[in-house]
Amino acid sequence: METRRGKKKRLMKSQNQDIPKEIVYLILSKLPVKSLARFKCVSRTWKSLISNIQGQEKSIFYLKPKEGNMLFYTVDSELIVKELPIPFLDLPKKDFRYLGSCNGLLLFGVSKCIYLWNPMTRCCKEVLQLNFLAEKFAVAASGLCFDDSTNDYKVVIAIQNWSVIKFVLVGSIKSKEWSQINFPYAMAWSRCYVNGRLHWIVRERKLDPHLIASFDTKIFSKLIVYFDAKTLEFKEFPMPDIVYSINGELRVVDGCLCMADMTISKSQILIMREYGVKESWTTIWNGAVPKGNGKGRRFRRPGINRQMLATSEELLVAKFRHLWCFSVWDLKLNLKENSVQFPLKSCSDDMIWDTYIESLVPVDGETPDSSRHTKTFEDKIKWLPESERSTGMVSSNPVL
Amino acid sequence: MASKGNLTLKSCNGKEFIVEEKVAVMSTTIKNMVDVDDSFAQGVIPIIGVDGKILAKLIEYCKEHAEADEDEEVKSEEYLKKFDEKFVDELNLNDLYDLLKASNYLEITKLLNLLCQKVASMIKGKKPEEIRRIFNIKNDFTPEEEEEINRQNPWAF
Repeated sequence: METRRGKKKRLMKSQNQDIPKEIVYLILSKLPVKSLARFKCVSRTWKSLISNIQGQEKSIFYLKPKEGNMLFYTVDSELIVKELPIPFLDLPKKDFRYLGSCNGLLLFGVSKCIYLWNPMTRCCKEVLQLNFLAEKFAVAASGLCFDDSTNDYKVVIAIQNWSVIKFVLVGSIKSKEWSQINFPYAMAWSRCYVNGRLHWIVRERKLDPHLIASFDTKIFSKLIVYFDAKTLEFKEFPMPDIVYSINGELRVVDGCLCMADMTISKSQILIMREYGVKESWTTIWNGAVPKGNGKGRRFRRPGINRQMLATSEELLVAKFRHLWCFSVWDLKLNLKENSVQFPLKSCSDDMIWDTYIESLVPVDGETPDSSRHTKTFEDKIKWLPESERSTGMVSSNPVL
Repeated sequence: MASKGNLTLKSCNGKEFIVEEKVAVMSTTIKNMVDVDDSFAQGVIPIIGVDGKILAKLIEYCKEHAEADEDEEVKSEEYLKKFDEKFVDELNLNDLYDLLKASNYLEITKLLNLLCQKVASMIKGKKPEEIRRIFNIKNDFTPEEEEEINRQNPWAF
């Protein structure tokens, strides 16, 4: 046996001297992020190849439990739910607020402090402070984006007063400074980071702000805007021609911007196949919102926070009725493929969704190919060994 | 010479294979050759750097997939999945790496992805030093640098 193994190794060695870089890259891109983190020290070439790899898009959601710790999970189209190892066990969980995600980093606020967290590297660091955050209803919309011209992450927060956005604050993680920028729209929601830009759906500020609460789609036209991190401006983005609902949701699917446009009677899901090209908006699903199982259950609030896309062929639906329940729908056949119950009894019905990509980006705001890291990085590093974490809370059975 | 609709592929050690055009054009490289120059479709297409044994393997793979593309009922998705599994499981390491290079050169994307997935699952749990041995890579980090990198990801080990 020993000799056979020895021979095998020798053969492997002799054959692999000339494996082209592009093949190595392709192999690496199929590895889990955990293996990649371990293989960074193989050689300089491997380290630089690995720094360019991003994991699969995953749906991330945050639940507010009635008691105990904050809960963050990822869920994929196979309905495998994984708990993320939260680093902020010792932070006060009151006033916790999820603010956005970009390049594998999650942004959240606790009271007036803002933290960056990479669940893959398990590093978490306080990056900014903002007094407005401590006020309960001050934040209307938020997000995180990367400015490659300055190699800096920017935190974008829209501050509202009486349900109308007054201004937008942009914080630089590098300089720790906030700048106030003009925001010519009344309301914003549904953050989505795609193609290196933060997108929001906004409502135009045309009329008397007292009428904002009205739900007349004719009065309030809806727009998609993106934040330009270089010029610190919001710019308008092409919308699909026909939109039914007053509050659509943006998502990232297969690297494309996607819009879930759902009302009680009419719904559609649109995907922008080519980024920025209006004509490339394509309806991938059209019809009524999938109803629950045969017992006549309905979704509580179709359209908002409850429906999301897993892939461009599948719709992932979450609904709450005593317990959270996920199901995957085949959009072509309009058929429920699989569903799973989430066994956490003490969770509230409040859930925040986002798209998250696993990566090894360090939380000190540098790109992964940089080997420098600051002292504070080390002080703040809080990681938990795998054995102490409970993962895979939910058993899933794709064959169901 | 091959009859109409067939192409002749010649390996680097002189072995000739007559294959249907739909099978051969699973390779983007061959497809481009045939599209650009009609004389390839008539004569013999030399496949540089790929020997007869590997070429036979490539043809076996392309044949199954080309037929599945044409008739989904006879060769279902499930059938193909089983075929793919068996195909990669039966390869020895030498053939695996030769096929990797050949499918990259011939741009048979589906097969290339399948083989990369196979290698990825083989090396997923390995240690960095094992990776260096397998891929014959020289460690060009100083011990301090290596320690520094590993300190950033203690959870990965």
